[in-house]
Amino acid sequence: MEPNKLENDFRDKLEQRRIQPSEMAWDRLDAMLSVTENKKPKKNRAWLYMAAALLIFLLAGILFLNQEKQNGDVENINNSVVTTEKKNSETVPNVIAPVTTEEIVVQSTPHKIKKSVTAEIQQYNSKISNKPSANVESIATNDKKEAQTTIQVTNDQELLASLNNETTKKRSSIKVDPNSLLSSVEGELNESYRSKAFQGVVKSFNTVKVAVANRNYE
Amino acid sequence: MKVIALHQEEKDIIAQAADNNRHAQQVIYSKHAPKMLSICRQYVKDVHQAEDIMITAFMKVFTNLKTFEHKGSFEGWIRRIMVNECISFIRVQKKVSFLEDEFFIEDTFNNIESHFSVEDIQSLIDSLPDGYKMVFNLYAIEGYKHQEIAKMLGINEGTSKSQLCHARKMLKEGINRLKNYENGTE
Repeated sequence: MEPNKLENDFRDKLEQRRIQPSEMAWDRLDAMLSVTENKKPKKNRAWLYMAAALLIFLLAGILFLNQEKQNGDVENINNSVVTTEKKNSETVPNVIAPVTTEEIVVQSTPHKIKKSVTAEIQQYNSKISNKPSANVESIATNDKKEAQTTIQVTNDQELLASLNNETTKKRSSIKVDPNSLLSSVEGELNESYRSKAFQGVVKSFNTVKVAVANRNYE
Repeated sequence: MKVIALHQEEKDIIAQAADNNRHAQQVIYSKHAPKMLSICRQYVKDVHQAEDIMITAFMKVFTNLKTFEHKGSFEGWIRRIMVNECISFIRVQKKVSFLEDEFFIEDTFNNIESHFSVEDIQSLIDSLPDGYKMVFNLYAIEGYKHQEIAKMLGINEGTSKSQLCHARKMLKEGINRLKNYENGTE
């Protein structure tokens, strides 16, 4: 199956042949070359546009997510305020949840103290009544003690009042805090959001990478 | 010395053309286009189509000029691009399907005296079906091995051999017809 004499002759003659292309041919090639040369920067620009569009999308997404999260927090705050208002009619409007709950705790504790104190007094009284053989002195001292306890009770009442005052003071002093509270909460939100946004960026970057790789194969 | 100088000159022009220097590109085109058009014409009967293929191939030459490593001749490199372009044109445009028969007989072709003009040769080749034509051109004119042809066309080596065999048979018939025609007119 080697190329034979005739084929060699064919080849030699065909090798010697020259066909002059039409004059239009170079002009066409020239035009085609110009087109591809002009295309190159355009391609780069398209790439830039793509990147810009992607960035805009990302920013919009970030803003949207941020807003959504803020809205959710505001709702939560509103809910807590409403519940605390239901619990405690004394709460001043526009007071943030932590403050009111603290107040409730503060208010509830004096009552407990008061209750326990009265219970103790009652116990003491019953003890006294159960020991009729006791000395007068002891009775006297008991009386004194009773007096002391009553004083204590009155003291407790005073304490309660003062506590109430303190809480109102506290309330007024804490009223200034919302800003710092909000900022601290926002800071926390931003941190958690930052990680989320970073994940989003990584994800989109990967998709872009894959798209670019695929484009080269196309 | 002169050969080296010529070689250096070609290298410089290739480098310039790779940098989209239109003048250098035109120099290369003017130098190689007539021969390349002749090659394309071997595969495609229509000269205008052959020219289209040549232009497309030259586009590939210039856009890939940076990848040319100066190993082997520049003309050979361009030629390969031309041949590949012709093959892909025929395969895409004409949807050539190769008959996957591996039947072939050694044909004695040597005893035929060759006194044909290039035009006769071309018309003989033109008369071949595209599949036979491609294999014949690649084997007899370009000097590829059957293994390489099979790889280029995506066929079996045996198919390439049988295609060549069929092509030779057809050419022989064509030559006889030409001879009879010549004898008849003489």
